[in-house]
Amino acid sequence: MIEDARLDSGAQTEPDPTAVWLRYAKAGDASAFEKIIVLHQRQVLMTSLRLLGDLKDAQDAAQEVFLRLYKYLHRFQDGREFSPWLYRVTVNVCRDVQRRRQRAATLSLEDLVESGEMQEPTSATDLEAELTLTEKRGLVAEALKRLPEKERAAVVLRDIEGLSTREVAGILGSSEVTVRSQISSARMKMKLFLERRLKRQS
Amino acid sequence: MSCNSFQEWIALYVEGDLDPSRARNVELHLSSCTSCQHFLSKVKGSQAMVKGLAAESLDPATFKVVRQRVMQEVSRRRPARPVWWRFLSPAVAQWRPAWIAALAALVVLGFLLQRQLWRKPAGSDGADTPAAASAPAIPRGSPYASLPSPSEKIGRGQPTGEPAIRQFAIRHTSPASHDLLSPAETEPEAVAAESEPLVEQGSNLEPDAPPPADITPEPPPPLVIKLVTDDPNIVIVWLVDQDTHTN
Repeated sequence: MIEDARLDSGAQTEPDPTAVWLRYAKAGDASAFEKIIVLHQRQVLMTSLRLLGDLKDAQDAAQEVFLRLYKYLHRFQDGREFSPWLYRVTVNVCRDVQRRRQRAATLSLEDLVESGEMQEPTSATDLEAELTLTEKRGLVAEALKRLPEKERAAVVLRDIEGLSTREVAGILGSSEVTVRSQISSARMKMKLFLERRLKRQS
Repeated sequence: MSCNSFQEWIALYVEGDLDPSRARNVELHLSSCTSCQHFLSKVKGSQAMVKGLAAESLDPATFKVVRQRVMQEVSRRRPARPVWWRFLSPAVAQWRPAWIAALAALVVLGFLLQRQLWRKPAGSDGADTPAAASAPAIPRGSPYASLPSPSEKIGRGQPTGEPAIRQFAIRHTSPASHDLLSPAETEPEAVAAESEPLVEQGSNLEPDAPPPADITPEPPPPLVIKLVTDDPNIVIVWLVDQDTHTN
């Protein structure tokens, strides 16, 4: 249907470069596989970094993602969307790395409520404008690290990678309702964490 | 509905993740609740910081390290391929059912062509055929070398068109050997002549070298010129008196 509509409208559809390189890589062309890495290394490494919060771990995870891609290359069907599949592999690999690392210092909403941190900070000082870009990114990275695994994955894919709720649900293997719930919870925690840190720094 | 419940929706509303009916409810509530208006502005601020990460980038060397490690592992895992594979792999990558069908058609065509050529009668080519291989060997240097072997005679079978002269044979023969096509009379010594250069068929119109000593005729035999046609039933034999020929 979509193809027909494009043809009817006279729009020229360019072939997906990844799909072309995938065909060559499946035939055993190593340089084609390297082209695929170049095209998607940012997606994999940056997502891994946000999910794991550590560059070295993210590099290890990205390496594992691409080696899994190489291993299961022949199983990848032509015409299937590559990027969501790669996101899914990335999330799974990062989850494995996270579990191996056993750094489960998560921040639950219930804990925050019980500790009284859910109350609105009294200071209205806007430190956000005074922080450098690096400091802001450091704060967000720290907030992400303290989110539960599934909420972190949902908010990273939705708010940082810019995917739709439906796409996120497809990648995480959840329903859209579940993903919305996870995103809502994560955003409220992030807001609270950032406000608290900004207040402390002030 | 409490403000806490609305705040869960506001966290979705801020990025347009709420369905339209709930979004209208949130807007109605916001129009009359200053606390939730404050909450909305705070969520917008934190979301701006979170989404700012999307523009973050890393040193290209960081990506290169990953890429190099992956490719090292890939080159270690992948089987060694010959150099020609580098040129062939793009073609393999583009394989489609039409290509496979075309290749299969070529193979079948080649097979049929091969069979056709195999059956085709030919003067010297006949020596390579299985039928000729199973027939008794005729020494090349013998007087019968350029005559069709029994298997060739069988192989020629039915004439396909107008009979044409295919071979010329001019040889000295013994009067005792009336059957010129019988290789059984080949003497063992004649086998030694096999190392002599083969006289090309069709060009052996000139008289050959003197016959071997062991088959020297007494009295001199007549010269036999035999014309073999495609039709096995038509064989033209011309006997010439030796004295006439030598004179």
